[in-house]
Amino acid sequence: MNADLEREFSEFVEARSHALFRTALALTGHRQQAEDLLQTVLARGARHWTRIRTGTPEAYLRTALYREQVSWWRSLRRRREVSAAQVPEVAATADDTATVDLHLALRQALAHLAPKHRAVLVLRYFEDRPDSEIAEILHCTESTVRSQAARALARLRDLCPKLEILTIPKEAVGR
Amino acid sequence: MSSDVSGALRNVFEEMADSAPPPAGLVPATLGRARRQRVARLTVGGGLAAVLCAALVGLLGAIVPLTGGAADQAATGGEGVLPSVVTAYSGVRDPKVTDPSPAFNYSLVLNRKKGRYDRVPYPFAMPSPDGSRVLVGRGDNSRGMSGKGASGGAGPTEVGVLDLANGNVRWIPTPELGVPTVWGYTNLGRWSPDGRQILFTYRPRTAADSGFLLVDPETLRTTFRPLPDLGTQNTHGLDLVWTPGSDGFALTTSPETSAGASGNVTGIRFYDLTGRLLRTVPASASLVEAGWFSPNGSQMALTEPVPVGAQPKVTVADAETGATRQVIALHRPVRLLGWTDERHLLVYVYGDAETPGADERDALLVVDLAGQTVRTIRPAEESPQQMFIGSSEGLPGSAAKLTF
Repeated sequence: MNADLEREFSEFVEARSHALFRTALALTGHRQQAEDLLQTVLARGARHWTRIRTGTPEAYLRTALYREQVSWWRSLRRRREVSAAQVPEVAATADDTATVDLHLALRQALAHLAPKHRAVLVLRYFEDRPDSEIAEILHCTESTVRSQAARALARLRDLCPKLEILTIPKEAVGR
Repeated sequence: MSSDVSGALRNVFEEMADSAPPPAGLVPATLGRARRQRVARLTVGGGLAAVLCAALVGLLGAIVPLTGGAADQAATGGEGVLPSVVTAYSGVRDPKVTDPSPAFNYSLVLNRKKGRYDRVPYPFAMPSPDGSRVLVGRGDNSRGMSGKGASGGAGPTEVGVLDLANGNVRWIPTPELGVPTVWGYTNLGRWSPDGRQILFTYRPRTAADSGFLLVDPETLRTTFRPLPDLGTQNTHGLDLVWTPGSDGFALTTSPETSAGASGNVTGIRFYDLTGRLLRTVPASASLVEAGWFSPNGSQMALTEPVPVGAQPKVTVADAETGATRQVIALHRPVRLLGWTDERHLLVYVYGDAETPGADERDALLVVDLAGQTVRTIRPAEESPQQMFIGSSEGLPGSAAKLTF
């Protein structure tokens, strides 16, 4: 990469790293893992900047974030590191105690989901993507997306009984 | 707050996404990482040229030698061959491959005759204890191939035994659907310490169906044994690990809480080869790999994830009683690899490009039981998914720099 391209890449990262890091945090739930995930994907983007800069680099990198996170070789690395720092808990503000408790329990339950299940939930509920786009990003069929989402929610309910007080989203059974 | 689950999820994801600002120095760290990967790619490119020559003279089809390059230059020098060596760097990222396909990773396997690492085109590679064979995995069943496996979990699509004498891989046959296989919710397999069997931990969706598979590396005959504890006592999802005598397994127990949530580590259970429970010792940290038993089997190194900002630690416990012998405080997150002898551990630390004065490169550290580093070795490749340690017996003197 020449100096001009490097400057352009740097400006892109400075401008968009906040948005990409938010996705990485939602995907991993761990600050350090989110940093490593984002840096891995950005390093790949840097190497291929000349090719991706003319298209939609943020969309490319966002897709790469999801695919990298659900890859099985990455799961090996996650499991074998001693430190798995959790995202710091957010201080309670105006929320009532029940809501804070529910969110805390939900965060803990999310930490026990398989990466692919979690990725489907992030794409659906954090990015509000339709199943067709989720399927494209995760390289699977729409029916797989629906089944993965249903399983993820079922697992969440197992892990987090507090969710029983809430209603089931209709999209969990197909949309 | 919304009154349904989707609303709760949206709120929680938003909270997580806002919980930390982007890391400082992301641009230089990213560019530095990209440059290092480019250097690695160029080195690998030289290796590939050597492959073509090797093929012409009829060398192993599956093995790609790295002549010179990172593998030979990586380690620091030393006098004589020390007892231990990294026998494989498994799952090394290939920067030439840009899509997240299975070809994204390869492995380096120790060539014991020549005292160097050879490249194999598999994202998983674990050499047998004597170094004559390698357990390898290929493919990725996490996308679109889940129907073939027992449960559709993420893992390789095929696992086999590579014979280093002739370069042939014998892939483990796939039993009919419904029969536990080496696919699905299993680990990638582990050689027994005596090299006579390969263990796969099997954790399907239905916890009660959990168990393990033993594969005979000679015949590839697979035997399944049920072990429901893997599902009911193992909310951390850890695998079985071989005990040092190859006569059984150990499992870190983390039973569910009364609320159905993931529980804390409560102990380590020991089983014989049939899955019969022999004994349980108390523990508050996890035993993740067979190499975490010390060489004579009397000690175990145990670890547990720690919250951000907290100091990571390794607990050294008595393998018979579970009693804590020592707690080793570490200064930064590491990956524990195992023991080099009864008094030293080998850990992997990641380079720190952000802290002034810190080492930017990854390193293998031999640390004593007080946590002091006594030797630093540069890995042949940075950030492999897994590394395996073995005896350096039989290595030529030229490999002394790879040993510890």
